[in-house]
Amino acid sequence: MNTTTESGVRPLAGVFVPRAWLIAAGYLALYLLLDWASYVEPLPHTSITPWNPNTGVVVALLLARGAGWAPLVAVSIFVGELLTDNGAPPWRVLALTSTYLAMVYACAAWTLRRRGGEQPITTPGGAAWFAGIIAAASGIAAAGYVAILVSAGQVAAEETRAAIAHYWIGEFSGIIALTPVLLLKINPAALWEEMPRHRREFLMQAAGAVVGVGLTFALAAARDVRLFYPLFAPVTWVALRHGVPGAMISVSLVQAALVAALELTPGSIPLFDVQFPMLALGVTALFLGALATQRDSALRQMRDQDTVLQRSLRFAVAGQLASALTHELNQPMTALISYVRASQLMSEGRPDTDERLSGTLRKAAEEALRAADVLRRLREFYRGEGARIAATDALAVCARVADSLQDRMRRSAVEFNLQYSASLPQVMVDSTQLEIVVHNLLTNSLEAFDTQRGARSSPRRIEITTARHGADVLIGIDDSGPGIAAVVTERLFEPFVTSKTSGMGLGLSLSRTFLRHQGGDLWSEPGRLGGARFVIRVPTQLTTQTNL
Amino acid sequence: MNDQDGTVFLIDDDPGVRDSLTLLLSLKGVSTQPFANAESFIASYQPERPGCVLTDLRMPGMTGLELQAALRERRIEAPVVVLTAHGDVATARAALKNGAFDFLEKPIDDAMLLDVLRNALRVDRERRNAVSMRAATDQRLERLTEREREILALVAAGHQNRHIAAQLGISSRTVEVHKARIMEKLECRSLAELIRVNRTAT
Repeated sequence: MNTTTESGVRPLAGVFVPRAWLIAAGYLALYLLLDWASYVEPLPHTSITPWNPNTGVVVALLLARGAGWAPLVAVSIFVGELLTDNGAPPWRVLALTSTYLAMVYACAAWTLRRRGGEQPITTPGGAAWFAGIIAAASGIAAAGYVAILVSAGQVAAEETRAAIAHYWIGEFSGIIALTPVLLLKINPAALWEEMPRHRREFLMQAAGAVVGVGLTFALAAARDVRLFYPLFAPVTWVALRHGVPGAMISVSLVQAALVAALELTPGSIPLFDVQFPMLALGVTALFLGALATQRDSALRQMRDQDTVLQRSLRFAVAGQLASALTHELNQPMTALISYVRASQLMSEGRPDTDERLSGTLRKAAEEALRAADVLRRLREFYRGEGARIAATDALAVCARVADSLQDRMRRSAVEFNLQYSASLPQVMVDSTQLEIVVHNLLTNSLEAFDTQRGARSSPRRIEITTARHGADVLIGIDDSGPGIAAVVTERLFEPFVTSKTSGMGLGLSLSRTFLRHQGGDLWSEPGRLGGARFVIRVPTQLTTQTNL
Repeated sequence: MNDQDGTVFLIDDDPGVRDSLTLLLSLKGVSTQPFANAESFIASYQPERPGCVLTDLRMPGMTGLELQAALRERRIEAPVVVLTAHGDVATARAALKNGAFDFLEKPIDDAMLLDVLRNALRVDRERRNAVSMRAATDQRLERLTEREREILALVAAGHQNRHIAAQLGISSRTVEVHKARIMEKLECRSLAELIRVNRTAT
């Protein structure tokens, strides 16, 4: 068994790791309860029912804890059949079927676990694997189970196909609805906090479900199952808003409500008839939910990254200010210190001066040096020291930044192109700082387009190209915008120089500072697309110049 | 120190820095000539005046780095000490790569500045001495005849009189006479001195 499941994954238990016997007891109780509750509409003389949520518990246990739990599964199936069966096949047959079913699902769980099947489903790929393996496994289980019963004389040979179909659909839809729910890692505290913010939506979704279920009851009485489809609407809504957890919880509830409706309404249509649409609903909800989960986690990741970027940028702006300040103050400080030293020299050896003069001048010089030291430390605090240099994929950084600006590009109708080059080596930079630089340059290009009102005859394009250049990588960012104003060109990289109405004019200056501290550089060139072109140079090897 | 030890050519666009450093250095006995920009320094530079350059890196007009390039172009070999108020590591590196003698960050410790400048001036003096010595040696070597130069080369290569005589087809006695003449012309008193002079020649 996999050790990570022992410590890392707690799908059945929430936040604490329960002891094995607790899991076993809980599993048995849940299995037998569901087995008893779902014992509806068995085929004549058999225990084959068209709805088996109890198998969902079986697969959840085997996925979460490993195939080693198969014996317990076999025992539970055996006991379940013994307790609820009224046809009572001989115990030898029961032992055989229980063992067979446990083995089939253990194999399915083992296959899924090799692809991380013990984790909650978060991607459409994961959903596809899960649905595919479960469809196949429940088919194999159904065929073998029925074959055993037929050969034991428990099921008539002419009923084989009907029996397999009933059993398969019951197993498949039971697993697909319940297993993902049981595998969820739900944090009750977080859910409780989340609740008030979405209260209205939850209420509306609940109302939708109530209407759906009420409709189902009414329609069950009217024997018109075609109108069962309105249930797709609330389930789809929940799936898109809350991902896999919401989707599969609602599918399970809808399944239970539907079964209850059909069973409690005398003379309604057989459950088997609605199991196919139910299964379709389950699979649809699973895929929609997985898509929504994937999208949500991508969005969250992007937001997190943006926060890091913003913080870095603020730090960098402060650094640039500190740098500009020290530069401006260092000139008068130098003059001041030199004047005081000169005064000291002039006062030395002159008998007519106040004896306190030399001491005063010495103190003045010390104070001036102290002020200079404060400036130096301030600058060093903001300079390069924060950089975390590591091997970085420059193309991935560019793609990430472009992704985050996708909306703005679309709004400005800009056609963006990132040229991949296959054999680009990794570069040694602080990836966050490189991201800031690329972000800055792309934003500049976009803003340049936005100032270009009226005349929109030429297509708006931004292009990023990369190339290897000796021990460096060059990243070129071209746009077809208005280019750089001649008055600005010369002083482009100086702080506080800008052609924009908003902004501090620090972007390019600090971008260049970042890169230079990491052994790279930034400059502008005549553009290939008629607008501005900036070139970022970054080293592929560590340089020692950060502490010269 | 006096003017013959060399002058510090101070180039800085900031009048306060210029004035205060000139005052301080002259009080310390270092002759200093201030310039407000690199252009005016180049225009007034006289190659025969010994000294070193103390220049700011960031200046409007010609920057410190451009000044270095301009000096190199004009084959002016005075040592260049670079000063910056910015602590700009990359520029400092570029300056040192360009052959700067040293790099100092403003505000500077006057003791360290003086140290660096005295070193730079000494280097300049030594370079000038070496150049003039070489010129004098070259002048003296000019006086040798073709045959004497041939013999000097063989002597410098460590050959005995007998070998030289055999190689040139003359007697050992004649080699002796030639050698005495060479020593006289090159103003050398020993064989070791002769070899040293031969080596300093271009």
